[in-house]
Amino acid sequence: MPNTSSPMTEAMYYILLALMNPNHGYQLMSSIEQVSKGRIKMGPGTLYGVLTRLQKDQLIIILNDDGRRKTYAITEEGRVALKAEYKRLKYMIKDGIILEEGL
Amino acid sequence: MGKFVKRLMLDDMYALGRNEAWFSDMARKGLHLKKIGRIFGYFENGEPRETNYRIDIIKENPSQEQLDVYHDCGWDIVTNNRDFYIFSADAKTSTTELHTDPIEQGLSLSDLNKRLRNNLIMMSMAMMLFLGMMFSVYFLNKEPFLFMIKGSFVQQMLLVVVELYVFYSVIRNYVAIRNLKKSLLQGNSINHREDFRKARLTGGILAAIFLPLAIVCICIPLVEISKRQDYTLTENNTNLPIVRLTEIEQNPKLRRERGYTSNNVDWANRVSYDWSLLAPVQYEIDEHGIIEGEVWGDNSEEYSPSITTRFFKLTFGNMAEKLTFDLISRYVYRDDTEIKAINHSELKMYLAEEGIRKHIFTYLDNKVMHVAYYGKRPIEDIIPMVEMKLLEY
Repeated sequence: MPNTSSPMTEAMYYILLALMNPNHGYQLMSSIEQVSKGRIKMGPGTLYGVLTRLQKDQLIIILNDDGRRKTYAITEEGRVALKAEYKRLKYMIKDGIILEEGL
Repeated sequence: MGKFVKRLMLDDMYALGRNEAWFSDMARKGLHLKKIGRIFGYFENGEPRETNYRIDIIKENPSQEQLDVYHDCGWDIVTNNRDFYIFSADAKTSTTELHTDPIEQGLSLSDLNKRLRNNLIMMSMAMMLFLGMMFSVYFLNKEPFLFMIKGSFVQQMLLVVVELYVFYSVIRNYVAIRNLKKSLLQGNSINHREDFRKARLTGGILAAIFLPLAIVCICIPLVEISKRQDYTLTENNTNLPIVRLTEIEQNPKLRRERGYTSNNVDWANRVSYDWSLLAPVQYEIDEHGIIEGEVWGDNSEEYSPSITTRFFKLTFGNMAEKLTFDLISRYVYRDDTEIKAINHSELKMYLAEEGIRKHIFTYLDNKVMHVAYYGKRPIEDIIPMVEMKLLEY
């Protein structure tokens, strides 16, 4: 059973997000940093741990492996999971709006 | 290249934080980790340096690309032992932490956790089987003391202790990973500076107890084998703890009757010497004779008396009585044979007569003796001779 259960960890969410464009591990970290506008500096252990797990759960695949570097891409299943999580987070933000009003 | 130093890995390998803290502490003393095994860690002597260590459990061999990414983040691989990968980074240069998401790290331990749990289940079943076997050997046995002395009881008990230690470490492994996983999943990062001293001390004490026991376990059977001896009983006088046929029969016509011979040992007239921790002196001695011109009581065949002596010197004198009873149970074959207990001077003796087969069992302090005589002379004649031998040996 793929682990698509919400909530996703932050690491998992951002890796899936970054893999909307196929990428290799080397650049993934900087992509994540970019996409999170520098908020997230992911450790390499975490990065590869998540990649291994997502691959096992078939949320991502290896698009290309030339022996030197592997290019990962999100799968359809991964997209679905990511969108579901995005929706959930959006609702959470929407519901949290009262905090803004309260301020 | 500096000199290499070996250190025992006394702590549980799966206590990641404690081991990382220990490696850092060693590096601070100028001992830099180079290799780890199950028992030893190998360190290279060099300049003291502040170094951070991280243990990463990686199931598949990391690719060069992965190692490059780690390197770019400041983490260089030191060594690995199966799926344990150890990385180090200079503490002074600021580096990205290896794991930034405890929950993800916790999830990555799931497989290992499952494997160690299965390991523990298998080991528990094996332990139950093993203990059950040990239990049945000693408690369902009719002659437990005899078995203890002849069979390598001490070694088996040591084996049980060593097995228990192995079992303990399997439990410890599993508990360590289970707790680590639980704590990570709750969002707590590994404490890379966890105090390792107490755990290493406890581990050290246990290892100091069990490792020598394991070695003794291996050595005892070797000693037993090396001490075992079989040789032909001389026809001259010996200082062995035996009553000789010549003394009993008092007949100048008595000659030795030879038996099956192999390895230069006449098995009908043989001395077997054995050693065990519980009974460092064990003799089983057979002597067969024949008297020309004399026949057995039923006129059937030429009279051929024989005698078997079993002699034990025990480590613990208080086992003597129990061993005597076990010998009676083992060597008096018929259940309806009457066992007569007599007090002969200061000795307690047990007599059993089954026709021509006459048994005398006796013990004194830590010495136990069983004489089985097959012949025509009355048991009363032999009693004082047995007594004398037991007293003088």
